[in-house]
Amino acid sequence: MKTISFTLNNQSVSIQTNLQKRLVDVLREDFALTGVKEGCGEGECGACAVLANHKLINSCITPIGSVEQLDIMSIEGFKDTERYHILAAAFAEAGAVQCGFCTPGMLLAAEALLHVNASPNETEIRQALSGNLCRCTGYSMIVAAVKIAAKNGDGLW
Amino acid sequence: MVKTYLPHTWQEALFIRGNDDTMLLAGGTDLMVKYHGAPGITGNFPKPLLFLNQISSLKTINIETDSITIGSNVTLNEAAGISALPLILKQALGEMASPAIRNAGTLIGNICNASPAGDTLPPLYVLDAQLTIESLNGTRQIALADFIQGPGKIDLKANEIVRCLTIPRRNNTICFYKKVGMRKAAAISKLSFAAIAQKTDQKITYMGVALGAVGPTIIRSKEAENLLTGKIEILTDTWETMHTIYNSLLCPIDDKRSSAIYRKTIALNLLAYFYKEYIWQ
Repeated sequence: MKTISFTLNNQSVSIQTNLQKRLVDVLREDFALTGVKEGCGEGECGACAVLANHKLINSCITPIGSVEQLDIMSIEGFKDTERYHILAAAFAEAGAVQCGFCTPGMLLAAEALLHVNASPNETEIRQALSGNLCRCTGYSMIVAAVKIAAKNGDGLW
Repeated sequence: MVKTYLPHTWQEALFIRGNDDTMLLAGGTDLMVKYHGAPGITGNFPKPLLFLNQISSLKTINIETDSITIGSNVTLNEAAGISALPLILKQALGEMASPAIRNAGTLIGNICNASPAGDTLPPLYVLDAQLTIESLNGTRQIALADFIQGPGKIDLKANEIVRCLTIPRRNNTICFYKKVGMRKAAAISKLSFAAIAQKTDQKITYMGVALGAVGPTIIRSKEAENLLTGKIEILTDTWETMHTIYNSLLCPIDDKRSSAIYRKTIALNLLAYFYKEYIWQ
């Protein structure tokens, strides 16, 4: 067991843990952040995605030892931002949520994209979401939602 | 559960490496898949784990006039962002895995994983990339093609760590990269093809062709490349000779991603396309 310190949803945290433990397990079990979903468990589906220093990573293939000193943001932290509310409204407007399992990862993938590219074109949106699987919507509504968010949130990103 | 190490300096890491038989972990995107447990259960790693992520000197990127040096902690996305990076490698990185994996996985990790389907390998082979390897006993340099010995097999001793990768900078006028996979994103290659060349006044002064996932390691033939390099006139039977050489070198396997016959056929088709479109003009 070792101590790992990092920033989680804007708060400094420390945890005594085995460094091999996956970030998704630490977030869900030790911090009760169950908005982080585990889908495939091997980095293919993006349901477990969180932001690390504002970049998208898959928490199911991230050992907690890799998280030392990083700034981690899960959907629970992101939901307190104005950008979240713009994105959530856009997802609702476009019908981009059905079962909702992929949605936390999708929202964070969209946030990661808009953070570096505030007015992406369709190809850029599809590339940014390419590691996040959705079995309900067929993706077009999610792409449309990101476009709406980029327009409505102009100046926020 | 195995023992874990999280060193903060390069010297500390070399010392640990010299005193315990460890497995190195940089991004972990391959290792965590290979050794992951069920949800909530810690993975089953075969050796003590040595995390490299806290060693800031391994984040270094050095751009010189004749080469680019990339440290072991540089992620795939960070490497893709290097403006001077050769186009052939940039293209491969752009099509590789998914954004989240490229944010965590490292370029040198992809090399050390030594998969025959490793997406950065064909470009790095044609670029004549070199690795710098260190231990407490000293430093050595090795060509990438010598470092990779077979599927998952690399020339790295138990006390050594790869410190960085050096890519020579050349003015390649020809660049052709093609990855064949089941889908655009997050797909492991069925096969891949990378070719670069320098062509001035109809004369090829440098050429490199490398094929991935059609043999136990990346396939590159100096013999075939020499048929074209430095020649003012390309002989009409050159293509037949080249085809014969590659036809005998390519030895793909059947697996869950593709069949041997498909891999070989498409690889030779890509070779023919490259020859026709870029060389024989």
